[in-house]
Amino acid sequence: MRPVLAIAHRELRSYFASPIGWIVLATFMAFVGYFFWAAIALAGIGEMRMWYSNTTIILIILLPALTMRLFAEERQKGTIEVLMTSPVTDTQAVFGKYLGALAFYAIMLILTLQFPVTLTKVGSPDRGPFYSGYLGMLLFGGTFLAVGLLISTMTKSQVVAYVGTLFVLLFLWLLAWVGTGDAWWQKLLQYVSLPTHLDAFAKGLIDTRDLFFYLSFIGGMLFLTVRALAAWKWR
Amino acid sequence: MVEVKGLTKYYGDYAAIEDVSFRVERGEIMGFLGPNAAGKTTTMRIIAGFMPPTAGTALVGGIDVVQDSVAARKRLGYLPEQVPLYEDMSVREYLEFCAYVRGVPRPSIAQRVAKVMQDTSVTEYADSLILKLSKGYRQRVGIAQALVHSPELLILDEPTVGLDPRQIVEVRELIRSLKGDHTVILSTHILPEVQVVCDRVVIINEGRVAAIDAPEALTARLQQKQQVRLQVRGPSKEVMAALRGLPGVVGVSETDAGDGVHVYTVESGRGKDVREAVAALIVNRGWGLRELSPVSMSLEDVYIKLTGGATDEGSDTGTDSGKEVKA
Repeated sequence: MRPVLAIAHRELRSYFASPIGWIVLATFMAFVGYFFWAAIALAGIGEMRMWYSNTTIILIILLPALTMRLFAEERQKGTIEVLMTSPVTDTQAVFGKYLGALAFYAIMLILTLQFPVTLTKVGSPDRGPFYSGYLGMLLFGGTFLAVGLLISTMTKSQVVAYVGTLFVLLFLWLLAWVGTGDAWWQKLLQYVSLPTHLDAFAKGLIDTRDLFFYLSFIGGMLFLTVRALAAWKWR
Repeated sequence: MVEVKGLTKYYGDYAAIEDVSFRVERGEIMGFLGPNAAGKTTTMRIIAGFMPPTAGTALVGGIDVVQDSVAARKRLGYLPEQVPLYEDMSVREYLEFCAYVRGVPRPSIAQRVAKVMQDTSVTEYADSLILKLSKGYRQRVGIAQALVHSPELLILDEPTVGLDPRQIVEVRELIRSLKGDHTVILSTHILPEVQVVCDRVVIINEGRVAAIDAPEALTARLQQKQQVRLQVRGPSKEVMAALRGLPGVVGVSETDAGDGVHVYTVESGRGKDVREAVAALIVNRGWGLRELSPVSMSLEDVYIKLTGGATDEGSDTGTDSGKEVKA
């Protein structure tokens, strides 16, 4: 556990030590702030549901920028040689990196808590969807980060890692569009598409099927990442 | 401390190393010598547990680096060739991270970090970002990183490459100071480094071990004859004839140094020192003796012989020529 925390901590502080972390944070806050303001001022909707789904689009663009460096940069600079000759297992390295990125994303989300807090100050909304919605957002972003981490182990180039992750995330996103309908394959596509499972969370519903989907998706991606890292060393 | 047996590594069809075996005793400094692309880095990476071999085993302190990789890695510190460091951290932060990841007990981390920073003379840059350090200081931080958890075994891949001469001397002194407390494997393609620093040498060429021995033993083993170099002002033909007439001399060669001075290389059989006889001869004949020095066969010559480089026997009188030998 200790190497995991050490690596996670290093990754987290590295985001704040590099421009990329601040750029992601600033861009994120600018957009989500606009979404929140626009929903109230332009559409007169005093709830978070729209905000969740709008925000997910920004996450597709921003989260790959958080994960692109995780392993790609270490491979390119060679620091991975020092890391992997330390007494750290592949699994510990992968979990550490993942937790570091997830912690940064959690900070991004925490900074947006001002929006639901504002809503409760000016009105008396149902608070349930806030809690479930944020849990959903954390899991949803968590799947993005897991995809990004996997792709980051496959290349030395951060640009390739970013574009590759963006492409895969868009693909997983669009599956839901293709899958509009009631045929079995359309339902399957719906099921494997990432945003489908966010709807219930946004409505205030924590469905164990959705929880299971996100957690198993993340778990599967992390497992593949560990395998990809090992395969890279064996090459 | 380290036992390597039949180590083989293929990259696709290309064999980087084949059947490499050697032992390193505790407290020893072992030099790993070979031309570029001879397989030094591959061997070190395998011992450091970075990648598994295709065949063969490597034991660090009796622990297999593949079977029980993490346990083996706890006992070693590794400095890769290009000194990769997290540049967005300060020296202190980086070393603390390394100490923490390698399992140094939390209360003693600050003390260990201070100690290695002192040992590697980077204390004055403790709070500078690694990004801003010069090559020499990065190298020291790299060594500090490998030392921070006081490992029994240190693996240093070309630790002096890219440093200026003064830094090279300092790094060598640092490595020598580690002797006894630590076992060190260091690779280099710079020959004098091995002679200065190492107790034993493994010469590797094209992925295979060409020789293993102490540097002096290696030179002695291949030294067939002794050479004396002298500079004399005088008629070269007469000098040549007189030198050839000395007992024990088996060959003399001569080059014109200009201004009536000639340089001679006198070869004698192994164990026959002809220096005094040569000096007496030159002085008695009234010629001007300007220089007389023994030419010992250097490790460089051994190395060139073993690695099949361009050999130019007989005429090679210098010991300081051509430090870089191409693969």
